[in-house]
Amino acid sequence: MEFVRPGGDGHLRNASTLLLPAVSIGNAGQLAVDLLVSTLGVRRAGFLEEPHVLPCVGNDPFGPSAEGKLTVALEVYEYEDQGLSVVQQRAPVVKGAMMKYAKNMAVWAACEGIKEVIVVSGLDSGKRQRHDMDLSQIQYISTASKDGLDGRCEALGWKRLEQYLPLSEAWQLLDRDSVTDPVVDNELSPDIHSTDDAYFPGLPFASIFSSCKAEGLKVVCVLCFCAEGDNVPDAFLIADAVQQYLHHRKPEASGAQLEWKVPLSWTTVYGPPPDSTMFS
Amino acid sequence: MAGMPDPLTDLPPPSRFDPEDLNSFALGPESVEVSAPFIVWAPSMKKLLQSGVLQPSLLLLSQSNVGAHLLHNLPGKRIIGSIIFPDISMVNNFVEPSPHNKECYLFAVDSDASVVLVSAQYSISPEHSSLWTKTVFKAIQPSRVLILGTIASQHFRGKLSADDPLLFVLETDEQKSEDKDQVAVAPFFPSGSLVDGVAAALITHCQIQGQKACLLMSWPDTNMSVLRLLVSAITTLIHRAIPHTSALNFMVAREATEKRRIQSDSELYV
Repeated sequence: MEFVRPGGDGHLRNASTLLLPAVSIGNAGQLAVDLLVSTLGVRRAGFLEEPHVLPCVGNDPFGPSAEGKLTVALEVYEYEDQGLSVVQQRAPVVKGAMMKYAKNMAVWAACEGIKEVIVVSGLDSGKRQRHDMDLSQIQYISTASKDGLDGRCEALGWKRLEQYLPLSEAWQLLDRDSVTDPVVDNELSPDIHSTDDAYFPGLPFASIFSSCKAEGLKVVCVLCFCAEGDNVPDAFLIADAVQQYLHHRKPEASGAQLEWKVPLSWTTVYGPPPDSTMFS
Repeated sequence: MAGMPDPLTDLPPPSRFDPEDLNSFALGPESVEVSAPFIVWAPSMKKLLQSGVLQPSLLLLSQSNVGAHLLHNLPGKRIIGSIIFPDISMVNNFVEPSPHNKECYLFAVDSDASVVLVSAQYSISPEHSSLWTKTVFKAIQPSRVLILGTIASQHFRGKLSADDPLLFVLETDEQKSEDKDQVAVAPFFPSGSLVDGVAAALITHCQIQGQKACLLMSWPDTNMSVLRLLVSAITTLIHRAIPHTSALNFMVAREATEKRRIQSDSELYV
């Protein structure tokens, strides 16, 4: 993975925290990153060249008017005053190459002097524990302790993802793979696919989590249970959670300070408007 | 959540993902070794390739059906090479160069190949687009790039009708800074709509490398109704890029394409 800053030195400036999405159900993480970039007014610093992310381009996603600013699959935004760098990923990873991508990202982040990585992702609400239904949609895992608990997240009222079982076979395999060669299917025991044990460790956020952990970075995954459909409300929820985390703010104190700026591309994110002749 | 494709139509399920796409443990095409594409040059190019790379003033790459017909009808061109993708079969191709062949032709219109035209007529999977792009730019390092792509309905967030031709443009930052005082040749591609595959890989490479490049996205690709819009935009862009060239006559190519189309349509009723 190579960072290219147009006319620059190819390095991040004053970066201590890296925020990035993991491709997930509902694209909730990517939508949240777009919302944060749009609202915080961070500027594009450059591009990431990464062979394992599929190519994809489009017109300016943020607006207010689309003036032809070319957007590519992996871009880096900087908020120098806050020491925050943001990676936006607009295309999927090549199937079977997720761990390679995660490792490349982790190595790059470590080389750039990043101290903490925040990964945002959606999770399938069908996998949510029944006894959690009354709790917040937001859950987390962190490298702050071996069991994934983090006092800073607990203080915000988030629950640690119950299915994070660092000693289970699939999570161990992921950890092992993040320091060695990429995992291949036949390394998993035959039963692992037929249970839910491999579901969470098999998701992209888990690969990034393990790879960054292997590079000695602090990682927090901000996860939101959602169903695929209109995931705009989930994006607001995740973006708000990231803001709370970054500013050590309690949920009840949030919202009033930040007025979200909806990106221009969201006006058509779920397809074209219906044909008006249908209603005449 | 994603499900099975429709068993009758094979249409994908109403989802953005297949569960397997999000499974890091799944084995994908990445794990299958793919033979790298390579370029076979015509013997006449030996002298020009002494430095190892071609450095034309303009590289025009077409990945659309309309673009392939235009390039094949361009007068005065000659074949200078072909990009071979070993995994793509050339069975059933005509011996003579044809826009219907599953092949990728490299053309030039002058002896020093100051303009190189590439007509990619085989399907390149998104996974292999970056590899194909690298092969092209390793051998050809142009001053400017013009890409002809086609709008994919599944990634377009607007209305598409087979009767209404559409043309949009996307440019790299370098190209945009140069064109800021110029009238746009077409409206910008709408925000929220996406381009993927080889067209995206080509313009991404140019954007990252700080190269001047322009991508023309046209619709439809199954008939020639967009031809006039497309040729008008290509002619304007070429005139801006290389003002003194007279070797590229796309107006003649357009007329020849339209004429052949009318002939082939009328043959239906003979």
